[in-house]
Amino acid sequence: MTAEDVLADLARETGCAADLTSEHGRWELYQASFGTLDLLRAALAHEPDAVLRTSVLLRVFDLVDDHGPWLDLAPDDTYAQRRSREIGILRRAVDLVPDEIDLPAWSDWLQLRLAEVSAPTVLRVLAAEGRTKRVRRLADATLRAVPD
Amino acid sequence: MTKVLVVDDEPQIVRALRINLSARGYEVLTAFDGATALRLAADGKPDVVVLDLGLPDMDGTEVIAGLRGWTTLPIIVLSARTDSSDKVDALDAGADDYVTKPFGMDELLARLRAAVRRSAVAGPEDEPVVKTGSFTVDLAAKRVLRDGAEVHLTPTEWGLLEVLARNAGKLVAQKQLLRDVWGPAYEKETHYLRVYLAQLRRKLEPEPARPRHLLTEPGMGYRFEL
Repeated sequence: MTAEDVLADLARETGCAADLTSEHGRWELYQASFGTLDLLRAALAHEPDAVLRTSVLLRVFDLVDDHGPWLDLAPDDTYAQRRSREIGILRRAVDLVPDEIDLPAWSDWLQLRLAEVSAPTVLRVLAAEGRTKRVRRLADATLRAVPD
Repeated sequence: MTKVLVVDDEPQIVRALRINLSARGYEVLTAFDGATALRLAADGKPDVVVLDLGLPDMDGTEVIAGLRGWTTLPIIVLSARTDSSDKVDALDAGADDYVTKPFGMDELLARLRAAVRRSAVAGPEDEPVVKTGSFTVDLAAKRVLRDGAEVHLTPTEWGLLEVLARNAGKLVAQKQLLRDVWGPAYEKETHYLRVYLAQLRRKLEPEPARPRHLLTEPGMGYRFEL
């Protein structure tokens, strides 16, 4: 199937009438496609715009447990790879031990999200050494709300 | 008249946008920093936001995150051509679309029209009553009516139904539901969803075993269909 065929399938499935020759139209289509992940993945395999592809991948990562088949679509996408790794850290935040906490390597995105998770070991570090004032303040507030 | 909130710290750009958009029949609000933008978005009730990412007091993605905490208002980001990670960050934070600088007025207007059209199709944001073929959810009064009678829901059942009803027709991820209804510490407790969705179906669906309105998307989340 050609890229146009795949996009047309996805547009039919979602009822999206956007202009698919434009990156903006395809973004509109992809945003409407998170309920049809198989078709979305097929379409994304043909997506020529790296920004769109990465942006869609970041949203998909929140929806699926297995990121592997999606990362295969963009093997050189370091942004998506990092986000995938960080979502892995986020999902097991409560089990992290102090040796695994590596604030310099963690993005602002991850630090901000961890600051809202009831994981005291991580929260204590973030409240003291989080990269931004917002992270430190939020981690401190979450820590106060976590039962002992 | 469509109301546009323009957020940019460069006075020349704000002035040019104000003149051009006003001449084309838009009402224009302007902000030169993120804090003012967040205040005007709440007080001025714009229909769409045009947001530059480089602001003096906070990162543009923080403005997007601040807005996304309470509104689905369309946000169009003005991004620099040289930095594609800017676009990814903005879309990741919840922006709807972007226009790359330097941009032509026609391009921005096209993006504005598309954003407003999509928003109009999605319907009014705070629609107080969601009607299905089987029951009615009054979001403002926090009541559910079925066959003319009020259905009693527990606070948790209501919380779950409200999130789904406000996103009618869209897939809502399991984690989002758990976070919104139970809190961030419960993102892994997917069995809560199975239990509470079963309760809601028993109370609201004509045939709970074959739900028409509270649908499961296996492995992903749930969808409220009218």
